[in-house]
Amino acid sequence: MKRNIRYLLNSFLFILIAAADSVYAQASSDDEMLKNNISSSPSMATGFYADGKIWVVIGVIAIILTGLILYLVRIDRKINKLEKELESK
Amino acid sequence: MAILSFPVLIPLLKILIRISLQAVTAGDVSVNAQDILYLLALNIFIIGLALVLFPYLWRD
Amino acid sequence: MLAQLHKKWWKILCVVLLFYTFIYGMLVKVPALEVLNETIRNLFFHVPCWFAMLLLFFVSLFYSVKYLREPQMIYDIVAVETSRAGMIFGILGFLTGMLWGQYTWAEYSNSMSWLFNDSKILGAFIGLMIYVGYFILRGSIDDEEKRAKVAAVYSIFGFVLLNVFIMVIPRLTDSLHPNNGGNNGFVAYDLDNRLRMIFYPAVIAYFLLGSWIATLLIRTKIIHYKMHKITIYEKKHTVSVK
Repeated sequence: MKRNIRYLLNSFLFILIAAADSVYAQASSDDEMLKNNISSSPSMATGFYADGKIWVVIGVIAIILTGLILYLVRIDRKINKLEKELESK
Repeated sequence: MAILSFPVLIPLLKILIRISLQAVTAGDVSVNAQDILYLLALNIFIIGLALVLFPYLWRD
Repeated sequence: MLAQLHKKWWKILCVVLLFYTFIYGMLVKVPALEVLNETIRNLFFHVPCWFAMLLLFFVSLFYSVKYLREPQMIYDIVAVETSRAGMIFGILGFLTGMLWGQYTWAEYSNSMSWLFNDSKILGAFIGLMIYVGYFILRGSIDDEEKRAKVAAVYSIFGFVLLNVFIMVIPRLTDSLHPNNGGNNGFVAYDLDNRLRMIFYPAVIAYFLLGSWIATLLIRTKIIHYKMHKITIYEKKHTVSVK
């Protein structure tokens, strides 16, 4: 039961942050709109990409993903060990 | 056990409330055809499923 | 599902595809759209949650039907644990959809208007509640075989209704979602070229992740059953007639 809750919390956190990161991208593009005020198409986060800040976002996502995948692999190995023990008994 | 069917009733209640409000207040009493279609579709699906699945439950 | 329980290849594929989805999902050039601006990237993160949920519930349905035809406990274990994993993805998809909708579709903040104005969101909520009822039903019956049978029947009922509420009804009524209620389909989002290349691997990645979680839960359950010496799979005795 605790394990299920931990799964839920971890997966929720990483997807939430991934989704929230795209909202940050929109917020900074509004500042750019105020500066430029000429484009007729909807504002996109081009400043965000030009500054190279997108790599920070990707770094964060990669770290979170790696952490979660390592957690899953650890649980997988634990269950493998338990199954072998049960088999040999 | 019967309380488990409450989620299925939510859209039913929503449409019926809207239609009853229209019927009770003075004004134009036109019914949206889309709502009736929705109610009909919901009824067909639920009754159909119940007809198909009930023998499995009753088998013992 | 049962044959692949201990294999490693699809887990490695899942990790590779997940990293591909998330990294290229942030880097790829997306079309500039009116209301959504940059958040169209949620197409790679939020929508595959729902597709993975539907696929996992379908696997659960498959094993539920298998249980009804041949009552082996292992089929019931697979059915409930894949339902659990599907439920996780459903809740995640619903929460991310709430967040996304709050910033793009909400008329005014701090309202629940998004839930009742769009029929697909309401339908998804009802579908998830039906599956919550599935778990409550399982918890309320003590006898194992009876529980498995009733749960299998309810799972068939729940899956059909979930599809009705998410796929069928929104196409009949007004909705803000693409391809439902008089809106253009996904083709309008330039889905032919760049976005599709990230979207389909994302669906596969999420489904593999969901089945990885499900297989871990299944194996835990199997260990639990074996420790308590409960039979999971009885081989039928082959009787030779001749």
